[in-house]
Amino acid sequence: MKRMIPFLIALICFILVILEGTLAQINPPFVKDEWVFVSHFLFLFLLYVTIFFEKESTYYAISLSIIFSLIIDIVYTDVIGVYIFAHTAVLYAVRGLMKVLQSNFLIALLMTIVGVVATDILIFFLYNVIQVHVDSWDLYWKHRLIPTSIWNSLFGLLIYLIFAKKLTKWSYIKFERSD
Amino acid sequence: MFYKKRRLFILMISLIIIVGLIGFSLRERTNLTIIEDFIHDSVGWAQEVINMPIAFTTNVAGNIKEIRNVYRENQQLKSSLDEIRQLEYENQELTKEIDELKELLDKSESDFLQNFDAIQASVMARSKDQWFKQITINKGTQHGVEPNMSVVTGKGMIGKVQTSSPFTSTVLLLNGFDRTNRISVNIYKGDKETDNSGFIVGYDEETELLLLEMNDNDKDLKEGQYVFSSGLGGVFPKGLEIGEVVDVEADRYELTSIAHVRPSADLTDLNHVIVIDRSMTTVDEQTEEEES
Repeated sequence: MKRMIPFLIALICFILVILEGTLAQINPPFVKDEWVFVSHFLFLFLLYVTIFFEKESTYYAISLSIIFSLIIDIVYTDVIGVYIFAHTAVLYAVRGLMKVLQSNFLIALLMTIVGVVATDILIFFLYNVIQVHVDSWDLYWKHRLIPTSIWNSLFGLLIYLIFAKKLTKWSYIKFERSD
Repeated sequence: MFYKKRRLFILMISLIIIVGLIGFSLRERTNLTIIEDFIHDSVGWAQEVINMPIAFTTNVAGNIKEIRNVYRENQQLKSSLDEIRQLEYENQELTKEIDELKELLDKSESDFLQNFDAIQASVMARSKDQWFKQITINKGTQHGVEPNMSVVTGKGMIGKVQTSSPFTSTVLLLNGFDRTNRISVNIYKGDKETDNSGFIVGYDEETELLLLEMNDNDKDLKEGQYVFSSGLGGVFPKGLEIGEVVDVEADRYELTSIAHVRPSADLTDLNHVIVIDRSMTTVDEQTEEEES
């Protein structure tokens, strides 16, 4: 069990990466046509790994982020490297913050919203710099940023409900229990 | 002290790697590396497995919605069936005539839709951030899909194959086109003998319409006319429906007219697509062969 845990987390990451692409295909009903929902599920999950699983000296979230963000870059975009950078940078910042903050529900929710907004804006700017798109900031925050952050906060809540307790338990099994 | 320095060092190295990766992938390239092929295919395989239950649920939901309209649609379909029979007959006659005329001219090849092989494919995923107008389909080089083939649905053209791995391919949608991959088109005007030609040069995000630049200033261009690919330019075959002209305006210098075209195919809701294999050799291939 102890050795299996990182692989289990990696498997969940892989499934979330696939889900991101699958859900992008489905048009959610009851919402405006011009709204774009971008799913950052992998990022959310790794955020919770950082908050609830990680210890001071381990780098699981960062290394998983490097592997799976690279997969996102290769599969979903042409430009390799933007997601790997954005995800890892924001996760590293959150990791730094979690040294001062406690891991409870409110902090997790706050980190979810701040993290998703930061990642999305970072990706927007990086793509703007390498001229993948020419959308204005105005259009971006109305049509993308707000729907995306709402959608991801909802999903973040779901991941919290499912995984927060489990991750704390896994962290205990992995790092503290001696067997 | 050492710790601080090490952190800075790691930061610098990762920045260099990122810039290198972006530079590597922004190059013009048609072939993927082996690693990319492998990741595309293995993720694609898992995607198909995970898609199954999701596709099933959305299908059931869609079916329930459709059942309500079945009666009305059925009535309409019955009436159009008669028309189709008529068209079929006409089509047969015309094909016969074309064949005869071809024989007269000793011309065995024609660059028309009948000379193309179609490859059926289903859509597995869409680019997750929708900055890249891409979809992934479940057919690759093993099934005969090659880069630059055009992709259509029943309603019209949706884009072209951008890259292909052995078992999956990515398709660039029409709304991701820019000046580097423009389409040469004709505008069909029914009564006139000659069609006017132009280029699809881009996509307007705000109005969700394609931009069509005419080759010359054309007074007859009106809304409601249909736009087809012309087969010139070597990439796209002739006769694929692209869209309908919505409005026309003069360009900045009043030299040519610019039309806005609404794509016929629905680019947001795609499930099954057809990849069209242009069996004739294109200009590019010919020059390549000559060079080699």
